[in-house]
Amino acid sequence: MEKRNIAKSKRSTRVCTRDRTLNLHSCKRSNSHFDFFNKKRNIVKSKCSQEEMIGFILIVVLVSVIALVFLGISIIRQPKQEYKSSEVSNFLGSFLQYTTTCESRYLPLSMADVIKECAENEAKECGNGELACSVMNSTTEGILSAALPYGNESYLKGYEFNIDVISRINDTGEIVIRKQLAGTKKGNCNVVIKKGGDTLLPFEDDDIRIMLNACYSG
Amino acid sequence: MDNNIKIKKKSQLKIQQMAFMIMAVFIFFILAGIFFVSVSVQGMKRDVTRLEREKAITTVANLVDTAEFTCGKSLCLDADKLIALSSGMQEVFGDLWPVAEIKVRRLYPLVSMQNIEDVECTRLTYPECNVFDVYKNDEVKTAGAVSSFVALCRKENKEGFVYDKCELGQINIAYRAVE
Repeated sequence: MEKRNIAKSKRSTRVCTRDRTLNLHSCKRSNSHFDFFNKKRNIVKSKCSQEEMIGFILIVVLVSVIALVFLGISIIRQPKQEYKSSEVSNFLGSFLQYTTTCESRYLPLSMADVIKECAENEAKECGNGELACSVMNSTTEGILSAALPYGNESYLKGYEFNIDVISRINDTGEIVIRKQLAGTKKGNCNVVIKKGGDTLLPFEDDDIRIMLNACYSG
Repeated sequence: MDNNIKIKKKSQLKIQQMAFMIMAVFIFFILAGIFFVSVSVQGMKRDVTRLEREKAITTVANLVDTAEFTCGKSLCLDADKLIALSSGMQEVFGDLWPVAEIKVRRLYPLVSMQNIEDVECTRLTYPECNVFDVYKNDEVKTAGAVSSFVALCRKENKEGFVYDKCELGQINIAYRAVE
């Protein structure tokens, strides 16, 4: 690097520099002999600006990180939607009308009747010698697997099915499960959407509650 | 004098800086607001779709309970009526049903051939079949389809006693596109 003075005056000096390797020629005019102080002030100013810029960037980054954390939490903790579904109610209504292989007085019983027989006495036999409860369980399993095919490729991820004898406490209206007749839990029900439904069958002083929760991915 | 100008310039710079900052904050909040609104609108859209679907399923249930289909109980299809409807009655009842297609499928128990392929229900194949093509209108466009579980019942005779044999079925309805 070669440095030479081209012109000099009382108030200003023109200083030119030449870069031999890159063959560049540049000149700067320094205004006065206060040049040193100006330079120093400029350095202080630019340092201050840099600090402000860094501060601003830090704030932006901080806000973005907080926003991302909140977004992540809200996505992970997506509220599970549970609601009554007419599809499930229709299924339960049709399920109860299904004609089983359990016979009574030479005629086959409907699913609703078989459930009542099973609730009455677990050891009760059908006319053809089968146990009412085992007919109920096998038919339920067959119907559920045919009607609600679930899996990873399917929109339906699993289901919960229960048949319980319930009674209501008069004072509070609270439901107490007295006896569980059948309970099936298949697939993965730890998902976003749960479509549920239940139906009641009158049974002595209590009710038989047939409940289905179908679990869908979001 | 010179000093005053310098101070004024500095103040102007500060005001400019603050204005830019306020603008940036304002734009940031607007963007955040737009993001929030779009997320909530998406949720609303999902709810609307779900409610529309529920409404369509209820319409199907109402259709099932009409005299042309019902076996006398709620959510119960008379399979004998379906056979009659699927063989030549479509033109008579077509205008009554505001839909593009009605199809009924037996789900349980499976007929012996059902594991391999669907067996369409005709007078020849009934009741060893699983699909009833009840109605189809080729002239209208279909907008979507909805299905509902139903009991599919028919009269059976056992040693002189007539009873309703009910199976599990699914009615599929394709609804018309609004033109």
